[in-house]
Amino acid sequence: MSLIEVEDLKKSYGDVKALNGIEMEVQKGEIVGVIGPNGAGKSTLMKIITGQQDYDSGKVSVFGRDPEHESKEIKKRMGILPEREDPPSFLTGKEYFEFVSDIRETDFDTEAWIEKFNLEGKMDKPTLELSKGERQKLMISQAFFHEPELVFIDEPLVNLDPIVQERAKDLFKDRKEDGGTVFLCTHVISLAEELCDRVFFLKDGEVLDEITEVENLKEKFLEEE
Amino acid sequence: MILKMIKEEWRKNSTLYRGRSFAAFPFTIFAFAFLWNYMAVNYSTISINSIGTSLVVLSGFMGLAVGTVGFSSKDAFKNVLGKTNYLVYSSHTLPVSRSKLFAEFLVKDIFYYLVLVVIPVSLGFLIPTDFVIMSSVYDAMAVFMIGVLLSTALTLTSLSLPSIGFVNYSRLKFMTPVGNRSVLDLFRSSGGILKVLFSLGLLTVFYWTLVIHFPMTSIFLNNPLLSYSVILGLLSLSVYNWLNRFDSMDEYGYLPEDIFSVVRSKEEAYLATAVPLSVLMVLISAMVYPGEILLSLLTAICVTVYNMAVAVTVTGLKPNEKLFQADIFLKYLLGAGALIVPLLYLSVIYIRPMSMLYLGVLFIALLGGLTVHWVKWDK
Repeated sequence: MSLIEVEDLKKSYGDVKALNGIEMEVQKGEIVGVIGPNGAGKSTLMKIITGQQDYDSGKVSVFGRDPEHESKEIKKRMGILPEREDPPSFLTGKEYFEFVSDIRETDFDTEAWIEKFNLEGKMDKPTLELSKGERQKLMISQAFFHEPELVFIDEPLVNLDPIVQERAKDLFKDRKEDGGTVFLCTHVISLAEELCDRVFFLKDGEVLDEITEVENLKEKFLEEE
Repeated sequence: MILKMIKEEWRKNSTLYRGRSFAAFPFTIFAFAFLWNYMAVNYSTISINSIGTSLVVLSGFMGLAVGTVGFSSKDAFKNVLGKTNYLVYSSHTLPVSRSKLFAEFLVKDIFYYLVLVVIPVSLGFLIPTDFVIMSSVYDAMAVFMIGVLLSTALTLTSLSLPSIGFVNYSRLKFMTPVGNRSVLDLFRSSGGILKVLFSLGLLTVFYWTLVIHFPMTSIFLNNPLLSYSVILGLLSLSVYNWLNRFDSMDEYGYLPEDIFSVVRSKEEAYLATAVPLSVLMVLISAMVYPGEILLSLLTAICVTVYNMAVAVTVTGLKPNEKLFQADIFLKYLLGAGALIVPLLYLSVIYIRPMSMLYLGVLFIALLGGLTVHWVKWDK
């Protein structure tokens, strides 16, 4: 059985059709990319699959469950890295890790993640005082620390310096090697080309193409455009 | 810039609270004020002068409450609240002075609340009295503005506590993670817990000044401490507002939390904050003006809990936004009033042999509030 199944998924915001009949399947152990221009519906699709957004019609199944009605249970088995620059709160970095660890009821190896992302000396500051890149490092850590079966990543490398970008990419690859599945939404084509086994090309809320040979993705993308 | 800010405020609110519903807000509060004063003029012994005075007093309250915006402005300027894309924050990106923008923001706020609240309320006082209290309306507007300026000046001064370390995540582990975070946000944002004490304290000082220095209040109040505990429970709503000011459900979308677990966490945070504060305020008040202390404590706690049940039921996690929506505001007033009005009445006429009746009303209302809440959020 597929890990994610999407059939004829539709979602509108007023008159705007954000998703218009999406069909998609994702198997265990692959890195799947969703690429497309701004406004193609990538983030909406990810939010629906992760149970953060309701939908109008169609069928969505994750781990064999409906994310709209069982989002909490499903999210326990997932890691999600949203596009927004969270966490802008008054919690310190260490407290934020503790906070996430308590919600997920899983120990957070804080020291290992501090070392992995060079966060020494930053963890006692409120997260709102950290730079965007430092916050992004915290967010990547929270998405992976519990070794989830399925990870959703929305524009993961924004605000990160090149060295940390490479570490983050290694993290995604390691997750796959350990049997996990990664669902990546991006408009950075080179990233999809480097990481993904398969790529869905989205435009105007529809899957225009499913690309299984990800070499020369940029040319294919321009052709589709 | 002031005109642009007014336009921005209107667009923001009419989008957030649905245009018509937001536009109906002044008419709703006018209707309430009118009804109350019509009853007072025609069916009570309250003099016209007293009605005029109460309008001025009420406007002073509102001014003081509006002025506490200084606390959130401090955080917003530090880019804490996230949504810093409004005109008042344009000093981040444009060559405009921060203090000038804030002064203009304040003028806009005074104008805005005058139109939205003070004028409709004043008309609700003025019309039933056949325009006799016109001078009180002018006084009310002046007192409102003085209240805003005074309160803003106080909030913008050095009211802050040592932040991290004073209250930290590990010490609040008895709460759920989201409840813990909400309390920490409240403590660590500008003004800390003092901003809650400040808003409750201002109104407390105001209440007791009236009771002690205005002999006419003895006509209304047999048991000032008991009546105070009812009002205090109602005012605790400000704690729930503060606890929901620094985050939203969207921020927990990537974690295994749902609306129900976040609501429960917010309630937990509210109870951990508002109940001890209510107890503290009643105890301090009892030192100034002794009364039925045990019954007052029980009243303050029950009304605080009941108020939470009503606020959570009708506004969910958005009390700061939804209470400006006329239909939601009406539901809140009716829900809260169902306990507050009879309880306030009983507290006013209270004599000791009535204690069982009083406790009975308290218990039934509390049970009713919690049942409604349970049906909406737990069932």
